[in-house]
Amino acid sequence: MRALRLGLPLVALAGVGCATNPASRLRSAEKENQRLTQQLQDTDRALQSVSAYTEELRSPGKSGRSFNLYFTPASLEQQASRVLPMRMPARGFHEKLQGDVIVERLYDIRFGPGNTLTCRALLRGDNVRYTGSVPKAYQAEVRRFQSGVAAGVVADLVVDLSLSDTSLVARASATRTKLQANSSANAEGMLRQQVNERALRLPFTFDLTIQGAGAVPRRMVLTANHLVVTYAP
Amino acid sequence: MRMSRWYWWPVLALCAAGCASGRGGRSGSATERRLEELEARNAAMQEELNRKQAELRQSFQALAQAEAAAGLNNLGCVGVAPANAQVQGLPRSGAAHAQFVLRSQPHRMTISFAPPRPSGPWRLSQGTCTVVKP
Repeated sequence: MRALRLGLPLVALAGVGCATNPASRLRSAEKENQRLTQQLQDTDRALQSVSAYTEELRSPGKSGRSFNLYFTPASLEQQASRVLPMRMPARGFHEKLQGDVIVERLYDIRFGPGNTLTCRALLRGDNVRYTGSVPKAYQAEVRRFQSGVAAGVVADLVVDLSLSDTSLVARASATRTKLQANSSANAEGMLRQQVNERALRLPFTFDLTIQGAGAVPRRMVLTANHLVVTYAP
Repeated sequence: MRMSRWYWWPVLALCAAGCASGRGGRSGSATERRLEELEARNAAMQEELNRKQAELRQSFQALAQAEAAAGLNNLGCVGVAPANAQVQGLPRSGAAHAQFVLRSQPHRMTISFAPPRPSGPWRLSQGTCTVVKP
């Protein structure tokens, strides 16, 4: 215990030393530069798409042999309902969970500014158990969490959409998770973090190439009413 | 309980090492110059990104109004082509228009279109969207 008390400040101070190291700062600046470059490219492309779509709405047909596919939030919910419910191993959410998580429903889809949409996902644990060792004092809390997950979890999601080549890329993150029973800020915060770090770590990619057609997706625009994908030869 | 004095020596040594590696010893090195340039460029890029994202957000409501003015409202799973286009161009009914993988399983999204109907300067084809599971 004494060693721990002495050791922790030492490690922290050594860490401060490392954090100010130019080589490590350079690595994080390079990483940040890559992120900014990608985001700028996506935003430039989104702005060009908005400009071209506005022009097309003013002068239909001027852009040549293009056509658009339109989707409303309701039509996307309907398509999601054809894929769901979907059963996933609970360890996809936390390495020490066993059992399954069932994604029951995706609903309340709303299109927002900046090519983002918000929606809610209803999840439910089926026989979810925590397999890590739990001190006796916290065992009741873990049992409450397990029964809370079994009763259902509502996750509020924000999804960033972008078009990359011919694919629609959807990067989702949970802004809130709410247990339907046994609500606890601590457990819900941990669950949200795990959902973001594990289940939603990778983006969802939709290849928008149309089978047997000469047209390819050229732009994607999100308005308050529609997701619009424009195809052209 | 009093802490023994030996404890402070490694602490001070580590602090000194950290500070020396961070700022003091090699100021003006190629790495530091590159770092300064990159951090300045990142700050400028972040500013440009904020400005462009604000522009994109502002266009959001304006686009919805432009759609309404063009008579394009509440189009769920609809193919739209300009009425004056030489060819309709829409995919043939039932063709997959999107593919994605969920839990290692490929899924296909298809649309079956009804015959097009004219609507002002547009030709609208109401579709029925489906998702084909493996």
